[in-house]
Amino acid sequence: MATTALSRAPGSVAPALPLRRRGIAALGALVLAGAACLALGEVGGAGVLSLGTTLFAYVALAQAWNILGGFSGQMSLGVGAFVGTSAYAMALTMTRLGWSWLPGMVAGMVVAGALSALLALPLLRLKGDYFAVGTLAATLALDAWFDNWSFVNKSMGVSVPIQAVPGQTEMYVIGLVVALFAVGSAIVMRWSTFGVRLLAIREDDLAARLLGVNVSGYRLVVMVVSGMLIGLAGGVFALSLVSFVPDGMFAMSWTIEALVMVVIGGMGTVIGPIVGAVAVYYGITTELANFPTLSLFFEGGLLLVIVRFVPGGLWPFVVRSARRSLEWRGPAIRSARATPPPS
Amino acid sequence: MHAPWIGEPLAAFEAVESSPLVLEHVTKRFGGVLANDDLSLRVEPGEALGIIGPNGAGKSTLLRLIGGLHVPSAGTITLGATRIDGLRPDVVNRHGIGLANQIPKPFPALSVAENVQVAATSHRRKASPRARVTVDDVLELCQLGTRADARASSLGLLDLKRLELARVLATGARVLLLDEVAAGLVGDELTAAIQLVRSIHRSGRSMIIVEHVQRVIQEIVSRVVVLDWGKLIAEGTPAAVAADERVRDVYLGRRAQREAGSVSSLRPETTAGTANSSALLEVENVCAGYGSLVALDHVELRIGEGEVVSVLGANGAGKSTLAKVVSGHVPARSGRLLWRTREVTELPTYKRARLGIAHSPEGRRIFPDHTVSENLLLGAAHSASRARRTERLEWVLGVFPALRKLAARRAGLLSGGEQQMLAIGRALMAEPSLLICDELSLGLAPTIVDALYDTLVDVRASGIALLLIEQNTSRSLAVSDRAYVLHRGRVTYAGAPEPLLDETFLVQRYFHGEFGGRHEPDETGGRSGVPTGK
Repeated sequence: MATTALSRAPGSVAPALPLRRRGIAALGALVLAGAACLALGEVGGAGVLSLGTTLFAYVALAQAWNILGGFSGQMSLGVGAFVGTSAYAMALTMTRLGWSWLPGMVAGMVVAGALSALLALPLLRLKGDYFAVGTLAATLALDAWFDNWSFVNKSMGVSVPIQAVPGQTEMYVIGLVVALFAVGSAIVMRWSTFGVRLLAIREDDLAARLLGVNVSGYRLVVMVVSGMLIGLAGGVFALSLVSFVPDGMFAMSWTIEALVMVVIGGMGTVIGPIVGAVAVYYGITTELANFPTLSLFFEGGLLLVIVRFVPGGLWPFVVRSARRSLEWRGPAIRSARATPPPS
Repeated sequence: MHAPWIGEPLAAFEAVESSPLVLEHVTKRFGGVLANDDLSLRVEPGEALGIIGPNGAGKSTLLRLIGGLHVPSAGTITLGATRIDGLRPDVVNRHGIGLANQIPKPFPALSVAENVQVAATSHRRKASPRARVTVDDVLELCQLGTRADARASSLGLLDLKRLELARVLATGARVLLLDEVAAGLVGDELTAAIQLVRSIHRSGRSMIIVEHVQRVIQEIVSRVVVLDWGKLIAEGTPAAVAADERVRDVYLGRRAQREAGSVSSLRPETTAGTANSSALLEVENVCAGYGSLVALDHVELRIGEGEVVSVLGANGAGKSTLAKVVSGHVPARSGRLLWRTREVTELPTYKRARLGIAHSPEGRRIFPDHTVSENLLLGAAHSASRARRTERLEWVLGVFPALRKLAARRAGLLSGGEQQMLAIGRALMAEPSLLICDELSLGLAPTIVDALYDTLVDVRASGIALLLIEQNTSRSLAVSDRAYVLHRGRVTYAGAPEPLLDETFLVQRYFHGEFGGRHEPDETGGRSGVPTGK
């Protein structure tokens, strides 16, 4: 069969199908999870709604960082740049142009995406540490600019019109949709040829280039997608905070939160950032809301433990353990001899 | 003639049309170094061209120029009617040129199928769905069908080479640039790789093959080009080139004409019986491994003072692991290591280095951004005084005179042979009593390997014991006092080197009965079937 296929068109090779099948299964699971969250919002009280809104925004933030850092290997320290730009774009279109929250949020997403594309011009020439430092520098520069720009009230900051902020239930749904959108984007990316090529760029960009992958193009696309998703999360944060200042919205802490969540949950996986966001925000930040210093202490401690003992993150660890315990009961299929030892 | 795991030769590739690849007056300079000097070549559609020459001759640079990784300083490269020099590597690839790397560069975290998927082309060239070849087909053709879901990081060397070829095929390349795809393969593995490349060639794809393994050149290509110092010095059929006086001088070496047994200049006649020399290192019943893998399985090994010991075996037999256990990079799970009767099993690597165990690792591991002399000085003992370091540096430069004039050059700019000298020189700086050389001859031209083994005479004469981990069996056996053969982590032979010169016996020890008797000796050379790179 292979013979006839190759003789027909030896120059064209189609991607394998199972990948797409796994992606569709994952999207199905995502829809079910979304419905469950929606039901939880219906039965839960005000506490669940406000906690859920912020948690969803963090899931989106972590997932957006993961798409860029975990999938394509571009370690960004510039999450704040996109959170801040999007929040400002949203607040300004709502106050100055009188837009409602939905077009405002879309405007924030578009502006964050445009900023990504603009920053990509110089940043795509940088790799590794240099890329990370470049994104950090861009964030600091934007912070300094907004701090001194009279159009946006300098360091006084801006607010979204309070009467235009949706109610608690609507906020919960908005947050949920943003999180589903981010996770959905990650699934589509991971389980597609596009995502496989992203991972290849992360592993060895030179080898990927030799296999015909337009590395700069792929890096640009993933930067813009990540920037837009961070912009959406930034919109949710802006609506929850109502008023904010440049030092808060362009802060380094956005990057740190996203990075810690992804590393704890499992970088480069789809589920990992969700697990990380829940573990850090729900497990630590809200539990210790009255002891912010202690909360940071535990966050740092957890990070240390993960990096030292479970370097892949919590989710891959859980998957491995589950698989191992299943194998334990079944017949031993794999033997140590099956793969030759490295010499 | 095939071992069971090789499978039938692939008849699956049907003819493809491709265009001639033409290089005209191609020159490439790196700073003051002239890597390619006014080269003109023409590769006809469906032709397999071999390129040989000493390390540093500019062979890899030439492939990288064609592949788009470098831009020529002068000259043009055209494929059919398209000029491809100066284009980005990914664009060159889409024009139908695929480069397979000397050191396989898999995407380790991806599965084998995903690795091939990265290269899959369906999104670029629209083909009707019925006419498409799937990733599975390519995997099948490259005999990777059963490993499709395995992580690339779990593959052995032969499968890595197959994967490298599968990926290039999946890009739809009609011109394949193969940079030493057979390096490091032995015996049946090498046969399998040659069969795969041959079957790909039969499909009408053009190839440029850069290779030190003579079997590959002799069994696949129809025309050979010889490079030296970036210049084309000879051209012709493999047989004609092999007979060329100049080629013998710069590349194949005079020694290739002699019998392997006569290389034994290194072995002093007096120390033939070494049982009476006192033990320098004793490995007692050592087991080691990685995760669930058992790499060394109750290994016993002994090296006397000033003795030369070879450790041979197929890929994955545990040779490098043994070297790492001795130097302390990999811990022994059980058993003992004795250094001059003192137990060192738990001693960290740096302390073992201070005791006198120097390790010149596989792949050289030089510091590419440091100069040659900085690399060497870094190898000196920390406690050594400045005067003593300088003195030692002089001694090492005496052993490797070629390094003296390169002392101020950045090590990353050296050729493979020079880097190997540097790696050994750096290990010698620590004034060791035992020098471990892992894959000394891997990827090096025969003349360079000759030169390296010649310098080992000086090393040995200064009283340093040598532990040689080698694929190049005839070379290392000729200089050894004793030899060990490993198979899957177990010692299958320990004793005098002479019996292993009998090829049938060697293969039997290599594969310990698994493929024994099914191996057919080297069809072309006949002098030494199992070892690579004569």
